[in-house]
Amino acid sequence: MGPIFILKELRMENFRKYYDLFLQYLMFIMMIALAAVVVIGVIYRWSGNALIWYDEVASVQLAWLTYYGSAYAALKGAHIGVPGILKSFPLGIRKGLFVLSKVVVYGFFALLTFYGIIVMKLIYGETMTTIEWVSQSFVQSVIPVGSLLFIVSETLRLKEDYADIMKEKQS
Amino acid sequence: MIVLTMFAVLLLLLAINVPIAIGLAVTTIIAMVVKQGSDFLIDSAIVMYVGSTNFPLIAIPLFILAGAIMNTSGISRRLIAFASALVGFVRGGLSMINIATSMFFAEISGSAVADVAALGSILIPAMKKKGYPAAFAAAVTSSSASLAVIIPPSIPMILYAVMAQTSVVQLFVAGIIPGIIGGFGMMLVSYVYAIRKNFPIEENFNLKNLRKTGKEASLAFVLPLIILGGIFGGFVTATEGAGLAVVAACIIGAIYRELNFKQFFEATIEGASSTATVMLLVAASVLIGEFLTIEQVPQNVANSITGFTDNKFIILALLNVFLLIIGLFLHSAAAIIVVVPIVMPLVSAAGIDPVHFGIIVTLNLAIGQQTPPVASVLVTACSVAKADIWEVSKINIMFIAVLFVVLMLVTYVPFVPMGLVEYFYR
Repeated sequence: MGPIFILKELRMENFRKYYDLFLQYLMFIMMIALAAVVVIGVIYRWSGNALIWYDEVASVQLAWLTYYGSAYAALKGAHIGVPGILKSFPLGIRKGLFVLSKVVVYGFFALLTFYGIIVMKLIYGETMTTIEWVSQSFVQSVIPVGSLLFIVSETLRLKEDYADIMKEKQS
Repeated sequence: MIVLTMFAVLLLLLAINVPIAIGLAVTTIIAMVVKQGSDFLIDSAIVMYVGSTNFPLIAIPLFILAGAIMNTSGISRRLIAFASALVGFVRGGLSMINIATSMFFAEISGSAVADVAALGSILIPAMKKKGYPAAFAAAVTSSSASLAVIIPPSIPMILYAVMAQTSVVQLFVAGIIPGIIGGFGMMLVSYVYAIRKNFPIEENFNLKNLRKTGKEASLAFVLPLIILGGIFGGFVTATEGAGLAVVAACIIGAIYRELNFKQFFEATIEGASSTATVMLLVAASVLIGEFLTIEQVPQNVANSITGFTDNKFIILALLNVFLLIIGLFLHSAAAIIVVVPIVMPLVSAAGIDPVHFGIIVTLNLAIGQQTPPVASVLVTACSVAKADIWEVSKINIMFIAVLFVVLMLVTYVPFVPMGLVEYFYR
């Protein structure tokens, strides 16, 4: 193992550490912000001055939580799947199927990134209905950006996922 | 033909461990592109966004957040102390305490996995220390935690209400009686087992101690009153009730002065991650929903089964068998998202109340959480107890039997879930 390889590994580990922290803080802020908006919405509704932007903003927050949270869940390998079947295949086949499964995941999010950008261009100039100074392109940027982050997370986990799939004994 | 090919591709993708949400989206995109051409690719990006903006589902992260704050503010410890004073004098006291605390906790948290993590980490080591077998400790913690999805608030019920377009409040009310029956049934089974195995009692009954622990835990009882009272009384929606739960949990955390920020931060991140995994499934389900509607799959399923029988009870039995099998292999959120839109036309054609069916689905999935190979709650309990999943499952069968009896009651005696709903809302 040469020094350059070790350096690369260290850089990768560092990047993963900060990327993980970045997503964690992002998630934390989003969860608290979502709770705050809902609570403020309830208080205003009770006081007889319902906020017109409440529903729309909270829904957008949920979408952002979905995609940025999905990138974090991908980094932790937390997405709901059925790993048992793949682990019951012989090792040689398992390797091929593992590659296929990753091609599907990468392909899907690459597609979503590409078409997400096209959608952003298509809706350029449109704004949120209740807050006119916020553009829809910004709001829906969560699809391409979230998808790209998902790809980054998958890549950072690749080695771990591969080791996990290959280590289990054939049952 | 295209539908069958699509399901075959979906099964193949799941078999090679593609996450279910991505498997659903990819198969739908392939099918739609084959049918409608590549223009659908732009639609898919739009639908994946719109599908994740479903307002009523905001209740899910908020209930998870409220649970996270409660877990880290010393409430679990106080609830356990109160349950100990209340039922600790019975033989096998710690298992009784475990079930009773789960029943209280279910009124705060909507997630069974969260309950196992919160209560199991305290109660399982305590049970092992007192000489209870690890497998029994894990079984009783795991199965009683599933009461969290039956007793309101319940995350699977929120998901079901959105997928079946029915009232989440009525579902919450319908879950109360089955949840209580399930809890007491588990206590009975646990008691009989404790006598056979001669498990110890915890403490003698002492009214003064009951009052003292009750006072200390009183805020834990106020919380469900605020949340559920607000929702049931029609003062707030389920989503707003979840928001209030967060505020109430913060206030209680501040009063108890035990809020541990590090634990709270970690639990919040964990909650955000589980919300995101469920919401990605929801977004994908909107995509597949469009395809199923175009292909009229739910109507065809309904027609083919009602062509064979229109007996409501036989259809319910078929649905139960189907849901129990699905529960063996799918996580409960995934099962609701995949199955509910397909079977709803059949449910309405058979004249089954969607709220009644919602409780049936929830109970089936509560059993699914306990039955390997895919059993999220059981696996969490086993990992806390460091017990072998098969050893735990052998003991867990008796608790699963309780859930099954409740399922049969709920299915064939509609008054059990629907009595309160009929009385208050119809």
